[in-house]
Amino acid sequence: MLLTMGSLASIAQRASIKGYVTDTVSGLKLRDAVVLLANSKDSMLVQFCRTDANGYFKMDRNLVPGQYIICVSLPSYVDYVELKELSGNVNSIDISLFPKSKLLKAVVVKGKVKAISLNGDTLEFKADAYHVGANASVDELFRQLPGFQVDRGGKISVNGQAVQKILVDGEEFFSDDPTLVSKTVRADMVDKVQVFDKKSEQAAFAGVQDGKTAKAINLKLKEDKKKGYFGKLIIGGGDRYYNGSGMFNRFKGPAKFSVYAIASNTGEGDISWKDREDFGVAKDLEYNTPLQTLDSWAGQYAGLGFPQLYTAGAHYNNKWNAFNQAIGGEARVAKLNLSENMTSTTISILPTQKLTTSGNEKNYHILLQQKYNGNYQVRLDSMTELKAKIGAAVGNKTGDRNIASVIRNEAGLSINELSQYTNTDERSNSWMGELIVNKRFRKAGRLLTLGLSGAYNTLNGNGTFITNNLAWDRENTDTSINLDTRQYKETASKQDKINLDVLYRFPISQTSALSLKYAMALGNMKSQLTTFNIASDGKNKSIDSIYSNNYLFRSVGNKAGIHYHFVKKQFQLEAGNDIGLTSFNQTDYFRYNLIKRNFVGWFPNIELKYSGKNGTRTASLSYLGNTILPSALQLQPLANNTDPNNIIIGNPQLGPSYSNTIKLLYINADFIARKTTWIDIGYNLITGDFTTADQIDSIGRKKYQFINGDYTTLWTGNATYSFPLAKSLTMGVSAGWNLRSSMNIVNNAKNRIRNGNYVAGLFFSESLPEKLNITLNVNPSYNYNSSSVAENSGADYWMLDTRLQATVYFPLKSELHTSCSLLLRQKTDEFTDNTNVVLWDIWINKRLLKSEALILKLSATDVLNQAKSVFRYINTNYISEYRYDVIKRYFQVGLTWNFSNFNNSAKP
Amino acid sequence: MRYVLLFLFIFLGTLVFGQSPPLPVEGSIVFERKENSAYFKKKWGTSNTGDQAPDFKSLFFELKFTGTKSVYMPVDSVIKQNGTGGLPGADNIVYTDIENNTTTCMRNVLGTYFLLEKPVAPIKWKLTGETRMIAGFECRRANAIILDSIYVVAFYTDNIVSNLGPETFAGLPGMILGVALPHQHVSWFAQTVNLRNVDETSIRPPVKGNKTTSSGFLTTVKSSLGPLDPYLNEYLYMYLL
Repeated sequence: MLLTMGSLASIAQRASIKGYVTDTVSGLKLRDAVVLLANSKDSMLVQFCRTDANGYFKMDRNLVPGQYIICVSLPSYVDYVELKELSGNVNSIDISLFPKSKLLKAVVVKGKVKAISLNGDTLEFKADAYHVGANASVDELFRQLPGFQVDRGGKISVNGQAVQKILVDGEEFFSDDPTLVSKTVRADMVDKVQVFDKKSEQAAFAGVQDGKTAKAINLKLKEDKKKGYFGKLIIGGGDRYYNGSGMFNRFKGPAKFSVYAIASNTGEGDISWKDREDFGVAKDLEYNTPLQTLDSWAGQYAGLGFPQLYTAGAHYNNKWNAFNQAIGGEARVAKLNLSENMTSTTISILPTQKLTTSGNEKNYHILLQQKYNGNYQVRLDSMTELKAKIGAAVGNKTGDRNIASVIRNEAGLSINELSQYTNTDERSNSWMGELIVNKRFRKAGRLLTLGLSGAYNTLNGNGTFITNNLAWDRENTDTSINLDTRQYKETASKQDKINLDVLYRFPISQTSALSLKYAMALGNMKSQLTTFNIASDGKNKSIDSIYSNNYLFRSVGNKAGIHYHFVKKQFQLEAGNDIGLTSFNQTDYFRYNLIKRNFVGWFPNIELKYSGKNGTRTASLSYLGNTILPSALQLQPLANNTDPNNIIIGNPQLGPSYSNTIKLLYINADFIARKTTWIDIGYNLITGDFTTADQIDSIGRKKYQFINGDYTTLWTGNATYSFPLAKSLTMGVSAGWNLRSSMNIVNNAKNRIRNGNYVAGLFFSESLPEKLNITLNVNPSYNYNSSSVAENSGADYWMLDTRLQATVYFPLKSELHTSCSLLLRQKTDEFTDNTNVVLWDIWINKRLLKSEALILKLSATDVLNQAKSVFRYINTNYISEYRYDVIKRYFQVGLTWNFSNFNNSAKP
Repeated sequence: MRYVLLFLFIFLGTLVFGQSPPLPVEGSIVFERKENSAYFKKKWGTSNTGDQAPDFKSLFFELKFTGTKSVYMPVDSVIKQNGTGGLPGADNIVYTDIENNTTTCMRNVLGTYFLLEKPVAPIKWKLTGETRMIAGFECRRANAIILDSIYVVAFYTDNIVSNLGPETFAGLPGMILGVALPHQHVSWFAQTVNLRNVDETSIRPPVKGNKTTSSGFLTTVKSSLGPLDPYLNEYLYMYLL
């Protein structure tokens, strides 16, 4: 048809083509080479011929002038392909072919790797597309990835969300601790960095949502870097501060063995000892009842105060039997000494007046902790998989605390002066076990997952609380009241928990499936707190019945639901509802009464998701409703006077609250144009939200009871767009907001609090390989707060957070790193002190030896000696500012020895 | 020593005349026609295909070619061995002459032989970038639609100069070593390729059978087989290739 059309259009206009085909290298005339013409639009074959013995070819049969693909091929030569416009007469073209044998020797194919791609919900960065120095650890790579931020303490966040887990090749590695993993793994070992939301293992297996996600990173290692050993030794010291650490890793295919040891007083190598949520069993219905503790310290250094850390750990995991069996285990020990000095100011906005509390707290804590865990996985057959985990932790926490505070009324007269000394010693033990069975069936898409987990925790402690408290009732009698106490407290609690989660999913058509869920949670907590009043002689003790308790708290929960899943082309829909029945049973052995509560919970959810065809775009819209049950502490009608000026009163009548969440997420990562768009919007409405009814008496003491408020709304959004400004310069703009409206009751008056902030952001990143890397973040924000009981409370302020990070590579194998953060905070009527901080760190690395394995590091931390940590919190009608003493300027000289040996010659 | 001399001869020859060595133009290729009968068993039920039938049925054909002429015929011994003679198109013989643009096909319909003479099928091939190895040759993939609706995937090698192939498939710049009709669950793939000289006299059109035209043949097949087999349309193409 093409030919006839052509001939009709222009009978005189016939195109022909002729020419010679030769060997580029030898100049030989090539015979029998195929010369073919194809339509440039649809690659339909139009005509072809073979070259004759002289390498000559000619095609002149009814060719229509126009654009063609000309392709010349001959075995053992590289194909020649060209887009060719044939004019309406004789076209001549001489073609030379390149022999494949020569090609392999002469040409090294240098391709630019695709830096970013989106694979389902996983954002993937190809590590080789980013340049880092030799022997760099993976946190240096993170600093260069768009949307990543690594703060001074090594904490990682992606698009503003903190990273909670880092996996290595999809497997747990040192409890997925982000800081430790990012300092251990070398940047040159990483093939891909994958960012995703990690669900529980059961939810991931069943492909369902479970609303329990943690931002996670998976480091996919290069195959050739999985065979060998690597590690480093660091020593550094200066006038007052030191740090030393050693790491050794041996990877051999699926077997990974690692050990580390760290000693430092600079906060470096801080390891988060926070109990990570276990993401194995879905625990769809989980009721957390924290054990009664005498010391609220979380057992962690969070950049505040002066730490001394000694820690060591070992990790091993392996797979065998064609990867059908896997085993893993690790042990970690740590000792952390932390001394803190904090001053605080709190403004309490009351219906009739404002009170100002000035406080100071000095404390010294020691934590000793050991953690062990092991896991075993086996694939029984191609359809069935079994996973088991066990874990144990032992901890000892001691604390010395000195608190002093003064509460003044608006006239500036002190109404309450408190000084308290506490000394506590607590020991905790916990055991955990988990079993998951995942089963697939012959019919595709049909699956069953069963998870069972159990935990047993104990906490035992004792403490001395010596309080000197003098108050003046200025409003009424203007007389002073002495409220001194000397108390000794003993606490003993134990808790056991069992969770069962079953999920069965089956397809109902080619595009849709149903899943049935059942979850059960059983919990028993036995808690005992005995308070003794110490007589003035310091010896005689008598039980204080108001502040002692002994009770058993049982919870039994059942939850079942049905969910519908639909997948068609790029669209995915999930909708369903769960119903939960929970009963609480609290037996008070101290006062002999029994409290029973039953709750019905509703958990509807719907999610619509779109994933772009070529994997660059994803969008989702979801609604989640859930019933939130009050915690044991909130229900607990037991008094606690650990802090005499803040006394909690439980509310056994407290009802559940209901939360509605709508979320919108849109990501577009155009890797060719290097443009990324990220939009994340959420709205949360909680009806009957738990809040407090506060009663502040004339001497400034606060008693608060938990109540159900009318509603709370939370409205958040973040939009980020990054694009290339020049070849190596990337720019990003972002805007975000975080608006909250909540209520409480203050001295019987209903109080609606509105607070929030608007943040704008500007981001520049310039990267010239082996020369320069600079990133600059500028984030101005506006913060507001209003309280309906006291208008014009004047807590609106501007803040500017600017961070500059730069690495300059010099000749002679040296480089200069500098990071500078500027935090400007507007003064307010209440907070009139200058809280502006410029934190400037600078360090120079000089690589020694031929292999650059030895690095000499000279560093100056906080060059301007300005470091301080100031936080402003707005919590209902209380506005607080806390200032902590932190590590200030110091200088260090350090040596780092990187060693590695990847044995690639001995491939199997 | 013979090879060394041969090599020297070719090497010097190319140097003297400045030419590359020629590619083969004649030889014989054995094709396996493989049908997924499990698919038909499922579709038609076992009564139509026989309970004991294997999941795959194979027939073997030999294609002999010299330059622009070829003949494609069943390998007799194999048919007798497997008892697969009854399959449609099991004893097709196809003679193709590219230069004179004619094909002569011999077809068997219920024991009666027919002879069809027609021009070489003008297939419009769409080239793709894919390659795969068949019988040791690197082949390139091309797709086409034949008989109005049948999707064809063919693999050809430019290593052999003859532009021919199994059945009436041809028209690609080289020898077709593989053909698949994915929706019909049937394929022809070269098993052995023998590039030695072929006796040119053995390549001649079939003579046995009643001469007929394409349209006349189609009517004959439909009227004779139609009443016997309700599933005729599923394999009618075998008579029309």
